[in-house]
Formats: sequence, structure tokens, C-alpha cells
Amino acid sequence: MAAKEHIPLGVGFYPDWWKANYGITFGRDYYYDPDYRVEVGLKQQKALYERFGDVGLGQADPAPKPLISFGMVMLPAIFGCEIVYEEAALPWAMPMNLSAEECDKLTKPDLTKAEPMVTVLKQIDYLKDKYGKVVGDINTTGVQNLALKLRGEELYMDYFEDPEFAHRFLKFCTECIIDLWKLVYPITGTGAVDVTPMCDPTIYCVPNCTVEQISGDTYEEFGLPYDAMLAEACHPFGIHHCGSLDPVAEHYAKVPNLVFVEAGFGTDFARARQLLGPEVAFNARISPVLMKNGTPEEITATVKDAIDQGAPLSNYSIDTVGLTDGVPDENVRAARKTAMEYGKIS
Amino acid sequence: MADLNAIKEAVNKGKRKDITGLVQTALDDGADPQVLINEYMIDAMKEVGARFEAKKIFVPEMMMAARTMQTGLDVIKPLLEAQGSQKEVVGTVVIGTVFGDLHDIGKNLVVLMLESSGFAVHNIGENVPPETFVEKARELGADVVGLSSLLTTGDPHVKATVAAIKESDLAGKVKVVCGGAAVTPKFAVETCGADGHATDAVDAVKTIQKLMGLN
Repeated sequence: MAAKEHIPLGVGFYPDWWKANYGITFGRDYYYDPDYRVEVGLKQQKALYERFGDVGLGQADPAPKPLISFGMVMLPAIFGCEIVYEEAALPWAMPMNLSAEECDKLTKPDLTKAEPMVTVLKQIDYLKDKYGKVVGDINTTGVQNLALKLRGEELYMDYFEDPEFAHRFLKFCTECIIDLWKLVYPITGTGAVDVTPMCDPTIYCVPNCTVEQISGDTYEEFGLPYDAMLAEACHPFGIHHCGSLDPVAEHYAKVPNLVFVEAGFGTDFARARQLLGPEVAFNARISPVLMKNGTPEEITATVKDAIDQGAPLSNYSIDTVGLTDGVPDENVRAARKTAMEYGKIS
Repeated sequence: MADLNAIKEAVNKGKRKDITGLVQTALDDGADPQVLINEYMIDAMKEVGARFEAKKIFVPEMMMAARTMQTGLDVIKPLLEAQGSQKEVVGTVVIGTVFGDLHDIGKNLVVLMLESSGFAVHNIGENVPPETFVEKARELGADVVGLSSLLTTGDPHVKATVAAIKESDLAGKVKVVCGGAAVTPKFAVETCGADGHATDAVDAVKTIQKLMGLN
């Protein structure tokens, strides 16, 4: 494989952008109809090529991509969370707000018999028959994410008032996540596609979307033991972190088998890289709010700043995920061009 | 004699299990319930808010403190009602997450902080259409409507909701404050015409107090 000339800069549009600009929708059908999903993938690649081919996005003549995907709602759905599907949004699991007693009564599901996993397994067979392969994987969600969906915000009170229960429940959630990864990974060989396009898809990447709400100390006590459990069972291991990494970067550095971290805007990227070490691949995210409301000059300056912080650049990347309707095309071009021209790897 | 500072400390540290006994002891010893609320509990929440703004504490600690204060208020409320007085309400806020957005934790934190600061707060939930904000604000006599939006997909809905309020009979009577990760001050105030913007739960309290002339 040829060495990269410049750092990669990914662009990810949110479903509302696709619906508003191309009439492509992401309701329940997207997750339940594999043919529709393949058709959407083709349309997306062609649309991106026509619109942003000048900055290297999309494909003129894409091959069908037999993709599986289930948002971040598979395990919440299996446990009975109501799943809200919207044409212009990602699916969302409504919290169940179970009592501690109800949480303690939960048992690990047999994933091969639980909906909607059964449907996805049938989709995998269908896609393999039709295309000879399947790509993508199932986002397992993160440990605290899942616990919050089942227990609700009361989980945060448990951290103070009933830490024994909190640990017991977080361990249970961790075991369920490991079971899901163990079922899907042997089939697809990937564990990151449904989380982020910015890391090696063959690693397991956990989405720690809610960890930004807790302190480093709280993560050390209630997050790290379970991320470590995941990382021992499913590795090489990566972490997607929403928001600033600053409060937990030094704690993430203790996670075993860690090879990738993705951090949100507001992070001191240079400090995070230093704490995690140069061998851990790092993806820095640019704020979707800036991408929507900023000028091309502001985008260029922000991407340059992220590049300046990112050394070593050989395993560094940037992305601008979550771009919603109204993001100026010029801002997308500005971000891509800056990475190509300023992010040269010497 | 009850140690009133222990009440403040309990709220400050989120000792929900301790607060009931501490408040009851203070009341039994003749403490003025309004003083307990205004000079100890609300003061404690101000300190909690300052630590949150300084990123010394995070969402769980703040929720714990606010819920501790609510537990303390639950002890005081029957006494106030028996005395024919009520906890002083400094204003009424109707708050929700805009249409198309189902996030709730940030908004719920704002609710807790406003309640802890003496506001009557009506949480109308998530995925709320503009017309519901208007109806509820009218029905509940809101002084302020709070809009939460975590995603930039919510921008058109923030704009539409502010417009719906400003174009209704509530114009000039009800202030609108917007917050959430997706909402910038420029977008909220200049683009949408909101009266204020809040960067977080603590700032929401300050902004609303300022708009109502309370600080």
C-alpha cells in the first residue's frame, strides 16, 4: 500500500442533508430493507461525485455495497426500548427508565433469537447470497450509553448512592456488548464501520457518546473497568468519544489494546496525542456547527489548527461528520482542500 | 440547634440521603423555611453551578445536587402550604427540546437548575412542535420559553419556534431563550430573533434571571 501523501479528511452528511438535497430517506426501511440500503449507497456515491468530485468525494460508477447497519439501537431495541425512526435523522432509542430491581432482573439475550438481530442475520444471508459478501457491522453502542438507555438518568444517581448496583449493571451491559461483537465480527470481519469511517474497519470501535458528561474520576471508577473488559475481549480496540476528550484522555491511555481514538471538537488534540502516545491512531473532529455557520476562511483556519496539533501525521486524520442541511458546499471544499494542501505528510 | 450550614453542604455535595433529616431537624428547631431555601439551598446551588461552569464537576454531580435540593424542598413544601404561604416563585418557564430532536439530558439539567433557583418549570418534553411551545406557554402563563437543540438539524425548528412565539399574542410578553450544543449566540439572537442564548444549564439560569430583571 502506498504511503499517504496527506492526512485524510472525512466528510459525513447527516440524513437531513440527504433528504433535503436528494430526497434520500433513512426511515425504518433503510434498516429493514437491504435492497433499499444498497440502492441508497449507490445514489449517495454518485451524488457525492457529481457535487464534490473535484475534492475527491464519491465515485462516478460505484459498485453495489451490500451493507448491514442498524444505527446505534440494536441492543436497546433487543431490550425493549422504543425505537424512533425518522426519514431525516438517525434512529433513536427512547430510555426505558427501569428501576434498579428491573435492571437486576434483566438477562443476557440469546442474540440469535432476538429481534431485530434475527432480521439482521437474515439480511446478512440474503446479501451474501445476492452479492457473495456482506460489508459493515452492527454498532454495539457503548457501555454507559446502553446503561443510560435502560436505567435512564438515574444511573448517574446510582454512581453516588448505589455504586455496587451501578458496577453490577455496567458489567452486565458490557457482557451484552461483548456477546454482540462476538456474534457479528466473525461474519463481517469488521467492528468499526457502523461507528466511524475514520479508523481501520477491522478493529472494534466502541462509541462512548455519553462519557463527555462525566468527570475523569467518574470515568476511572465507572467507565475504565468496563472499557478495559471490552478491550480485553474485543481487540484491537478503538474509542469514539463525543465532545472534548480533555477530562478523560489520561484515563483512556490506560485502556489495554487501544489503537484508535476519535475525539470531538473542543479537545486539546496535541495534549491528547501526547497522553495516548504516537502509536494510537487519532481522528480529530471539526464542529458541525462551525461547518454550518462558519466561513470557508474559518474552516480553513480550524483545519490548519487541527493539523498543527496532530503530529505525528502518519496516523492522524480529521473528519467533519454530522453535516446537516444548510452546510455551504464551499465549507466542505475548504476543509478537504486544506487537508490535501496543508496536511502533507513529509 | 440544627446546623444550617450542614444543609448547604448536603446540597453542595449531593447528599440526597442526608438532606431530609437535616431539613426536618432545622424545621423542628424553628428555622424559617424561606430562609432555608433562599439562604442555604439556593446559595449551595449557586456554588454548584460555579463549579460546573469551571468544569470542576460534571453532569452527575450537578444532577445529584439539584435532586438533593428537591428532596429538601419536598420536606419544606407541606409546611409552607400549612402556613398558607408557598415557596417563592420567581418566574415561570416552559421548556422543551425542539421538533426533530429527542435528546433530553441537557434540557433536564436546565430544568433542575431552574427549579433549584426558584422558578416554576414546565418541562414539555422532546420533539416538540412550534405550535405546542406557543400553546403551553399561553396555557401555563410562561414568562420565558426555553428551547433546547443538540443537533444542527434543529436549526430550522429553533427558528420556526421563535417565530411562532414572536408572531403570536405572546410577543412582547414572553422571552425566548435558546441553548444546546448546536445553537450559537449569533444564530439564536441575530438569526432567529430570540431574546437570549445559554451556553449551559448554569448560564441558562443567569440568562433568564437577567432577562426577567432578577439579577
